[in-house]
Parts: sequence; structure tokens; C-alpha cells
Amino acid sequence: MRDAFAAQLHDEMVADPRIMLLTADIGFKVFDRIVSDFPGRFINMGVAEANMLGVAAGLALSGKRPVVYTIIPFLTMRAFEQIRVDVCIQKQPVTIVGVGGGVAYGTLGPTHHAIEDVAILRALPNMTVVVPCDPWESRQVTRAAFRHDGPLYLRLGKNGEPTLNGGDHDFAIGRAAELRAGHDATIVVAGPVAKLALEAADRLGAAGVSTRVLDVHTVKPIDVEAVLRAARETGAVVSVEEHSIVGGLGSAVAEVLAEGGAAAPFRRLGLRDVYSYGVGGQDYHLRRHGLTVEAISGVIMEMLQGQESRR
Amino acid sequence: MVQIPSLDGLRCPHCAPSKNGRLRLKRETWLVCQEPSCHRKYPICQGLPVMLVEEGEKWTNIEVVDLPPTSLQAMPAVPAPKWLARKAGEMRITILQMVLRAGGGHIGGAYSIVDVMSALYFRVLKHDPRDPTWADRDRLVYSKGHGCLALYVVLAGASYFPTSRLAEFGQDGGLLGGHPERGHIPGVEATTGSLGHGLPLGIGMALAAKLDGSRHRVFVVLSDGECNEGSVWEGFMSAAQLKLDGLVAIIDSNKLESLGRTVDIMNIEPLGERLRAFGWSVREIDGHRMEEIVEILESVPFERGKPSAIVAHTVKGKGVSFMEGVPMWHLRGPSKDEAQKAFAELARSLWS
Repeated sequence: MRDAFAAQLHDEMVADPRIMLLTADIGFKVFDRIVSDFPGRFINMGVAEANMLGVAAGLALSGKRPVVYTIIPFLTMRAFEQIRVDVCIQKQPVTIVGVGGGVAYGTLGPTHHAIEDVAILRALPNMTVVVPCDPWESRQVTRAAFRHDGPLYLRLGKNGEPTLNGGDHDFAIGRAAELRAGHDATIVVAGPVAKLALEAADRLGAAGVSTRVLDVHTVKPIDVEAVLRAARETGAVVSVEEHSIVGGLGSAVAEVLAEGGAAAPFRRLGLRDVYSYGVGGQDYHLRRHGLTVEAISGVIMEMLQGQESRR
Repeated sequence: MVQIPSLDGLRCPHCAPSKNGRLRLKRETWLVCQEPSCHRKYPICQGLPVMLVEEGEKWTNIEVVDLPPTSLQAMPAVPAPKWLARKAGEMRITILQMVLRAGGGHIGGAYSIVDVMSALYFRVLKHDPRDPTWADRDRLVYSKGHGCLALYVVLAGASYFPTSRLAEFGQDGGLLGGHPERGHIPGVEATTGSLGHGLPLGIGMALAAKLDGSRHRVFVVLSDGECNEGSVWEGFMSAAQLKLDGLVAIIDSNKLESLGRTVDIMNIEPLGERLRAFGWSVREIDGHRMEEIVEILESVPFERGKPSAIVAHTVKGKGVSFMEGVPMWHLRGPSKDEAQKAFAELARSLWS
């Protein structure tokens, strides 16, 4: 995802001379082509995120299209108030790109995990929050970001994620993509954990449960219609996110379902309001919090059996 | 063009209600009572009659008699320091009126910087109030947003909006809030109020200018208390690193912050030396001596390849003896008695 983003950003910088890239001393070798092809438009701002966000807003106020890039907690939490005041209150077109969504930084531990970012950025008026699931979507968001008016947060995983979305739909910010059709249940997902959702849908399919996978890459503004349609047409909804269940995709979906009057059973899968302590890789941490194919498919089976027994 | 609020129904507070006491405008400079036995004169300051303070529906008097004539002529093309200082004095009175009307405001930190602001907006900045988004204008980021009274009076004085609208300070649905909002107030370059934001914003603007080969300059006005914020020091490092000689930071060093002396709360001294160590070219001035203010502001950048810092040594509450250097006047609405005393002192320095 990271390299896909960097490659697309390079293409965008060729086309739009207003685009600049600022980083807080992160991205070893990731931006080599940008550095060599656009001297002066890539600036390493040092390990000083608050200043970097303010400078980006100042650049935007002077007509530039700045991109800021670093590891999510330092980008979105250290500099949160700069994002709020300088970027969001003033509605500046700054593209905020965070790397290491969820527990992608595995062994680097809870300081580097990002499990609250979607919640806090979603709370900011004027902010758009996009969580792509694979390299293809990362390229699409990067492209769309510079045609978008106002602040945008792009949450990347790391590198080496498989392509899940073959590019067989038109990408648009705010429009959910159906990665898999289905009519018995829906997994609403954002981010690279969509891979787990698709595998769970396969497993459920083998057991005769037709499962829709709805990729809500834009968590804000969320595609209300697609979520309500899924609830109406499939009757059971599970959200899956590499994030705390507080405030992120699951909360956004819950808001839509509750206000939309959907009666469908609903469950949230994610980190259950806990930090992921201890040492382990990304998969290790995902497993500890029930973000596995087995757990996702198991929850859906339970929900359907619950519906069955109530009848 | 001096703008006068409606005079209809305005009566001389000294004569009314017993006599006629109609007020007539004379040379856009004075209001003169038409009652033959009175003939009191009330100076117009910044387009508003300074004697008159609205309290509900009643106008109360702050009396100063036998004032010499003054005039608010059109602004000279290049105002002399004397003119700028006088203008700053008038603006102090206007600020007092605004605070009285609103019931409070950050008056101390407005009085400490208003001389520098007068020099900036009426002489130093290259800007065009008729075209606030002119691409080549000098930018001014007012990072000490709480001191916005000093910004509002110079913006009005420069005709970004009519002086009469200063009366909307702190009023529901009005133009001017307790911190400046970009997009809402003409001439405000950035929304400020949260301290420690303006310098990075100014760095971004100066960086954009440098990359575009544009010659406009970016001025950032900070308070010394604001330099408690870590982001300011990130900005100090960053601006030097980026060699932004189009950037000028002016620090209103009035030595006080909200609850006491800066040196007792979070010592930033010696500020000039620290800034030099951070790679800035630094000048220290008396922020109330207009000749010095103008001379230094007109000599930026001080060195090629380095950002310029001006440490303006100022007095919080400058111009009113009982406010000067008193932390309480950081944010306070004066009582009527205090306002009268303050007005008398400010008026004496202007009209005696």
C-alpha cells in the first residue's frame, strides 16, 4: 500500500506542480523517486509533527496542495490540535497520510499501533477519512485526494498487502464497494483486514451462507445508503476493523443502522477498547483481538443461529 | 473616509435631558453641543465619539473639557512615526470603547502591541485592503490571537471594514469575536487563538513564497507567553533550517502572561540570545518608540538566508498607568470608574 501510494503520488506530482510532500523523518527509501524528480517539493521537516502540520496548512493557505506523511500516532495524535485548528477549522486542502494503520507495526508495540485515529479524525468537522484495503485502492484514493476540496485523512497499512479489489469498480470517495455479493449476511469492512473478511465469506459460502463483503473505504462521509441496503437485503451485519471498536467504522455503521431504523442484528469486531500489549507481529496482535477468519465467520454463524432460534 | 455611526437622537450627555443639547458633527473630528450655554466639544476618535459610552439606552459622559482641535485627515502616503504614534493612541481609546461595550476583552496585550501594529498596517506592510486576496501581498499572521483588539483596530483603520463595525466586538452575530477568524473577518490571514500555531503557519506561507520566487514577506506576531509552547520552538528551528529570510517573527515581549510574570512561570529569557542560537537574525527594540519600530521593521530581512526576529520590549497595558504591568489586566472589563480614569489618561496624552 505504501509503495502504491508513493508511486501514485509521484504521478500526481508530475501533473500538478502545487503538490508538495512533507515528512517527519519517516519513509526510508519510500520516496526516492519523488526526492530525485522534484527537488524542493519534498521536505523532511524533522521529528516535529506539530510544526509540520502547521507548515502544511500555511502552504495550503498559499495555494499549495501539501501532503504530510509519517507514522499514524505521531501524525494524528501528537499534532491533533494542529489538524483541528490549522487544517480543519480553516478547511485547508491538506492530505494527511498515515502509515501503519491498526497493529501493522506489530512488534514495535502499542506506541506505534494506531487504534484510535479513525475515531478522533472522524470527529473533526470538514475532515474526510479514507481507509483503503489494498494497493489498488491506495492509488485510487491518492488520485482522488487532489481532486477533493478540503482536508483528507488517508490511512495506509504498511507494505506487501495483496490486491483484493481487482479494480472492477469505479472508485469514488464516499461510495462503498461491494467486494463480494451475498444475501444472508454482510461483513462491513475497511482497510487490509478486508482480506480476512473475504476469506470468512468464502468459508461461510462453503457452509451455505451467502455473505456480502461491503468495503466501506470512506469511513467519513460513510455511504449510508449502501450500509442500510446491506442491512435490509441480508439481514445481519458485522463490522470488521483494525481499530478500536470505539468510534471507528463499527461506531459509524452503528449510527447509520440505528438512525436508519434497521432492525438487523449487528456486531462489531475490532480491538475491544484495549491496547495490544506484548510482543508480536501484526498477525499475532490481530489474532489476540479476534480478527481472524475463524472468528469473523464464527460470529456470523452465531448471529444466524440466533435468528433461527428466535423464529 | 471617517465613518460616523448614526447621530440621530444623540444628545450631549452634559446637557440632556434638561436642555436641547443636540450634537453636531464638525469637520468629522468633533461633536459639538448646540446648546449655547454648553458648546462642549467631543472628539471623534477612529470615527466614534470617544466621550460617549453606551449603557443600555443611556449615554454616559466621560468628561474632558477644553480640548485642543485635532483632525483625522486622510492617511498620508507614507505616514511619519509621529502620525503612527498618534494613530496608536487613538486606537487605544477605540479599544477601550470596544472592551466597555463588550463587557471585557484582552486589553493588556492589545495595548502592548498596538504601536507595532500601527507601524505595520499603516506603513510597513505591502497590502491592499480593497483586494485582500492580492497574491503578492505581505502576509501577517496574528499568532497571539487573544490580543485581537489590536488587530481589529488596525484592520478597520486600514479600511478592511468600516470602523463603525468595531462596535460589533463580542456581540452575538457580530463581526469580531474574541479570537480572529479567517474567512469571517476581512484581512485576517489565519484563524488563531490557540497559541503556538501562527509561526508554523507563517513558515508554510514563507516557504510557498520562496518556492514560487515571490517577493512578499510574512510577518508573524507572537506573544512572549506563547513561547511557552513547544510548537513555537519547533518553528524556530524549522524556519532557520529552511533559511526563510522572507519570514519575520515579532515577539511582543511584555514580560507577563495570564497569571503572572513570564520569568516566574516559564522563563524564556534571554529570548534574543536563544533566538540567535536557534539561527535567527535578531533585533531588540523598544516596542513603544515609533521611530525605532519603523526603522527596524523597514530593515528586514536583517541577514540573507536567515529568518528575522524582532523582540519588541513592551509594557502590558501600555498607556494606562493602573493597567501597566498588572497581570489582572490580561483579560478584564474595566468598571465605569476605571474606564473614565483610563480614558482621561489616554485622552490627555492625545489632546493636551
